[in-house]
Amino acid sequence: MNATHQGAIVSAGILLGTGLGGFVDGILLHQILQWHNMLSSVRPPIDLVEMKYNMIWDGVFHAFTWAMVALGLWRLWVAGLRADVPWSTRTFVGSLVLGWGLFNLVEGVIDHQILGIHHVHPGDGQLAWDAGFLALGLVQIAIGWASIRAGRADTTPRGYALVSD
Amino acid sequence: MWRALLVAPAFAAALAAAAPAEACPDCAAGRRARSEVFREGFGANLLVALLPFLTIGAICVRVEAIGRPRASGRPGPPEEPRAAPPTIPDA
Repeated sequence: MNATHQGAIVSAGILLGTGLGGFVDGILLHQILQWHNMLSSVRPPIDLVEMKYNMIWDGVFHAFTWAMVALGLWRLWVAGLRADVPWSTRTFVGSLVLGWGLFNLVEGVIDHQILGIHHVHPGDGQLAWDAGFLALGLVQIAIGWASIRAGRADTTPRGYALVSD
Repeated sequence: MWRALLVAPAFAAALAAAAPAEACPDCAAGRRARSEVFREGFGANLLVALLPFLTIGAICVRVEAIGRPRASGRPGPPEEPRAAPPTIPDA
């Protein structure tokens, strides 16, 4: 069986990588380190009301990241049922990394650069932190892309290895 | 037995008399934050929060088609010969 529909597993991996990358942002940068919140450059969390205001929007952000993970799981399940989808670890892991990088790049450009609703680490060196976030995204995209390209050589669908052993 | 019958009503009376705690699901700061979320640009903020995910979702729709067999009837790449499935030897 020559399975070539790589896009199905790549799109599932991108959705999952985006959601998991969003959770890293939300859990690490919003909650544990408390560097920023969703609207912290518009409504700085300087008192309890402003903090709770930002927490609500952080919750909305986390709801969307959760939805991306749920969508990704659904698409991965559908891809696994298809005989024309190559079941490649390199493709899938590359797609996860690509999805995370895509999240950092897209979210960085839209939220940090264009809209300015928050910055990675506001204050001194704000631009450097934002640029570093974008650079990290680009590196992740390059690594993910390379892994997906290498995975083009894998053309066996899910379960085939078990049958042919 | 008699002791429990005396203690239980006393405990219930003490709880009823106590002032309700200022729990933050319904504290003043929580009420004000919620009212401001829904009063000030709720739709715009929701769109802003959703925008990166919509962008990536649109990219995924395009990516999903990569390598998909075409419906035009054009043949795909030739299949490699498949190894015969294993057979279970008779016991």
